[in-house]
Amino acid sequence: MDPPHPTNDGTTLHEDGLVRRSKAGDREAFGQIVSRYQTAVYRVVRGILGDPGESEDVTQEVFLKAFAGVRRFRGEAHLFTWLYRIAVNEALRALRRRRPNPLEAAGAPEAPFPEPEEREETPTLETLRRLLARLPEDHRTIVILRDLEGLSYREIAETLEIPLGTVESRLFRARRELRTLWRKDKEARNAL
Amino acid sequence: MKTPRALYAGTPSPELEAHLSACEECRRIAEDLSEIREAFALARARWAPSPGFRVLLPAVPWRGLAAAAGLLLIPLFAWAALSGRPPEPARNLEPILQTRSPNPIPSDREILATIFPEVLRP
Repeated sequence: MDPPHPTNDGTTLHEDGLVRRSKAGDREAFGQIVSRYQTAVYRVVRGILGDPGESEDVTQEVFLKAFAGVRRFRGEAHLFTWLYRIAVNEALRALRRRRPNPLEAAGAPEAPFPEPEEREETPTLETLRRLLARLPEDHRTIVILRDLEGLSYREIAETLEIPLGTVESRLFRARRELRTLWRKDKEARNAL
Repeated sequence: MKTPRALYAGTPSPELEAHLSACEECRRIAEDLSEIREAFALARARWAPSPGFRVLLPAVPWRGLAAAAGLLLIPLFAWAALSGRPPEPARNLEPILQTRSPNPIPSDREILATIFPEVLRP
């Protein structure tokens, strides 16, 4: 079953009007856009970064960037895919800022992932966080957009600005890799 | 190899169901993927900003820029206004600047009268 879509929250929001007003500098209109998407944006960022506190900081950055750039939003893409694109870019930027030295990390398959400020409430979520952190950035991003946020292949293609065929093949490889990690983790836990 | 791909794509079909009942490896994949889906569903429900989290929006950036540009224009307008002013009326300051000496220089005759009073005496 597909996860719920970000725009299926049971409310009617006249996004075109809100975007128009936001372009004219109406903070209240943009505030309504923030209210609607801040949790979804936060989830995407948290899926990529893993740390709850850092994810809030980056979510703030995402909406600042969106507010500053809303006048350039032409409406060719959906508003939420445009916001997701900013979220993915900002989260990946934060991830790269975190890495101390790319030359040092070059030999390692993945740069060390810091422990989050808070531990996950459940072992399942803790496992998910740990395993997502071990996926390469592009694989992590695509499973988050599809399996966490429920975007269609077309919406993912729009968000990541990649062809539809790439979405399919990348998602397949990402899920296969995540499943392999999941299986190894499960077997390791069962062996204890 | 087609069956695992269909499993990962999450597209159920009667053929897949039949295959799963016969293939142990694919059944394990399906089981793991189902657990991962549940983990994502849990994350969807739990991963949310803290209750005190608020996105703080700045004053509208382009309005701020416009205000800054406006401030820069003020001295420009002031300069333009001043340079277009009518010329100052001509004022003759000479009478004011010209000072009368309190001790005017004495004439030659007066000096002589001081030195030689008897000579000039009538």
